[in-house]
Amino acid sequence: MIEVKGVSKIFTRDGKSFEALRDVSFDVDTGRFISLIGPSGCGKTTLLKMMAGLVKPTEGVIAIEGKEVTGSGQDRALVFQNFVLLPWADVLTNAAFGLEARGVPKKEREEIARAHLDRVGLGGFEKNYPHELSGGMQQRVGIARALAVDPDTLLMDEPFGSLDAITRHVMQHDLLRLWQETATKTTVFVTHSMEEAVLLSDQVVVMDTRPGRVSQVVDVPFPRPRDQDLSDSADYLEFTAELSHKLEQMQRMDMARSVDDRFDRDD
Amino acid sequence: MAEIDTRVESRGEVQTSPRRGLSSLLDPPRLVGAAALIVGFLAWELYARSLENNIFFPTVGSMFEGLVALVQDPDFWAAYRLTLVPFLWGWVTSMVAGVVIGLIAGLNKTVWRLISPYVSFFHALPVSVLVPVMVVAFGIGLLASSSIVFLFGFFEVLLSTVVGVSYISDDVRDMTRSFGMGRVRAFRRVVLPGAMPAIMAGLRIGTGRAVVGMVVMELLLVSVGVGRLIIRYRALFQADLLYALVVTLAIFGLLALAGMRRLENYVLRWRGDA
Amino acid sequence: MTDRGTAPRKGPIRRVATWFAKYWVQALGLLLGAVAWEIVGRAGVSPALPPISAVIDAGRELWSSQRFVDAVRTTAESILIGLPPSLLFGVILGLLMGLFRPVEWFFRPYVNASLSLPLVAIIPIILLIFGLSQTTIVVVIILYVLPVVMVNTFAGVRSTDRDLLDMARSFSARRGLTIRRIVLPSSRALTLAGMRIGVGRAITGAIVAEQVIGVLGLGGLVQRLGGAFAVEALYAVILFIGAVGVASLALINRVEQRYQIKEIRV
Repeated sequence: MIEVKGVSKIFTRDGKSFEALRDVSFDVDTGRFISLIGPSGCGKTTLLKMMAGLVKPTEGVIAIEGKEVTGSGQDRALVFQNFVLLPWADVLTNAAFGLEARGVPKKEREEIARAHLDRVGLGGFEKNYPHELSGGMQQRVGIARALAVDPDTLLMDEPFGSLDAITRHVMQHDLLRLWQETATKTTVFVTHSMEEAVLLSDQVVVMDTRPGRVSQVVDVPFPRPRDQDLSDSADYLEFTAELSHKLEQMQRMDMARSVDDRFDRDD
Repeated sequence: MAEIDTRVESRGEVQTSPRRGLSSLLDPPRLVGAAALIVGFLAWELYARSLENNIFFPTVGSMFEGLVALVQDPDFWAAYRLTLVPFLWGWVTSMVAGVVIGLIAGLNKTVWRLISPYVSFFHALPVSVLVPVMVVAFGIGLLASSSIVFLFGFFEVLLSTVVGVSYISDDVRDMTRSFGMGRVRAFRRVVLPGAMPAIMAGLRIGTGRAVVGMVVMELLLVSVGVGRLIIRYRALFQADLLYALVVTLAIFGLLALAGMRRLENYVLRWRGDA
Repeated sequence: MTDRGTAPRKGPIRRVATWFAKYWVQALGLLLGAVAWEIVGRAGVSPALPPISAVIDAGRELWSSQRFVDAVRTTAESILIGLPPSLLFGVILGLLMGLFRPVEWFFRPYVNASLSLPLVAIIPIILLIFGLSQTTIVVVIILYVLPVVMVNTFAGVRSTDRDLLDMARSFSARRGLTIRRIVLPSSRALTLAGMRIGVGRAITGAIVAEQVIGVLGLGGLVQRLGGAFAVEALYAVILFIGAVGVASLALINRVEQRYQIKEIRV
């Protein structure tokens, strides 16, 4: 279980401070899939990085299974929006990187990596290099890399944000299937897209911006296992549309506010 | 070690701005840098003192004394004046010629393709080997010495200008044409300003090269300027004066570069945070 | 020649033809230049401008002569002695500078100075200390090459993508692994560029030093030929030196291309 308790984050640069997150609190039950969604600047990526242990909260605490998060750990793995693969290493080496970081010997880690590459549908591409693969395939390598270390918690930072619409659609459904088939892990998924969030998650945490804070936590009422048909169903479209509108409203209000700010500020 | 830091970012403030004002001297980078220079001077001094005589390697102290002596010596200033004349001639002409020809070649692909093998050749060549050619052609007077400085600076300026202009022309020519802008206008208002950063950088580097050319000229030609002093101090094993003289050359180079940098920042002031 | 069948490779004639189509203007420029040179040379405009045919004749005679071979050997020797250690230590020190900030702060003043000052000016001092010997040439080579390689390697290390470092951190990778798998490969391009520049500067430095000394190596040969007004032979040597410069540049460019990190398209 992930507990976020009263987390705030203030960034300071050149004397100016920027409040990224204010008093964010919510819980994620073990084995559940939740999405963080909100307009730009609402701090969702910062929050994710805090869970990963890459950023420390200014105030408040994040605890996983009762233990406070103080740094990166073996129980968590991150998937990045820009894939962040090593361009000079082949797919197998990339997928095995997390294991290599854990000190797993070569033969073993290559075996494990190979298995995970199979699972994400990249069997046979082990010897290829990232620049030879499409965006979707590269992200699959990123996902395989994260799953290979068998983390308790999977953290995904807008993993499909860099992909074109069609690929994104395919990846969403593949992820859904993968997640539901295997030992379901606690997953925190940051996204911009309400359709994506509702399709994949058990819970959606809607955040507002400036400062970043939780606006609403919504339970997604659709039962699992979910599949392709869900995205065509009327209930889903209605539910998603409603939440989308709310999100849009927040975004518009934020844009208006930022224009006002610009006129008020005396720089 | 922030770049390869595996530690987590600390709570609260991340100090990103260096200290301002006098306390900037306490900045770790400057402190260690200053310490590095002090260590260097100390090592030099210790080694020099350990030597039996200092005809090859003066102490730091005697070098500074030599510097003072030079500054007070009218012969020193006269030598520099004589050296500066060919430098200025060669430097100015190389800048002008480099920019003008660079602009022509940058705008016209055919011109560039015609001359590019020559430019590549001369760019890969150690320019100093052309000195004897200049001597055969022009003797040892002002023309020869100026032309050497010219050759050193010219190719750098030419190359930078060509690159700067050709990068702009391609993309922007279509845009200006689509708005019905005449070629001369487009050049003056769009292409030239756009190529300015590259041109100014070329001028700066070219100036550095021209200074190198000046020193090479002084070393290889029968010189009436600084080169003559170099020969004299070497022949008489006056190491302190020789080292001091080299320091003045270094200072001259620094001043020339600093001046060009100032000019660059002024011309490109629209750039903001350069 | 017009077999459009299954053969994927162009025959040698086709390849030359393609190359020629691309570069015919440049080739024309060279041809025109050579013709102009011959004409002006024949006209006797200046003693400094012999016709290219005379240069080639003098060259043929010179390139097989003992003095030329000796000169090339001396220069090559100096470079072979001075360049490899400069490259090696330049890379090592550059890496240390990139990985450890205090090391960077320590070397910065020296590296900056040697790159922004006219390094040629130090030749009289080296000459004073080491005399008219090959040692002087080697020392000059080292002073010319070391800072450049250091600075480029350093820049290569610092240019490592922050995202990659974050990713490694997220997997709790230890420093050693991060350096080996991420920093070093990532710095390859700039390090190789630094080595390319270093080789160029080694040749330049060697030749300038030899010219100042006046009697050794190719630089010394150039000075002596100039002094004897043997213009044709002088040009022949200059062409040779230029050709060596161009060739070595092209060679290292090849190596750089091979190790180029291919851009990942998103």
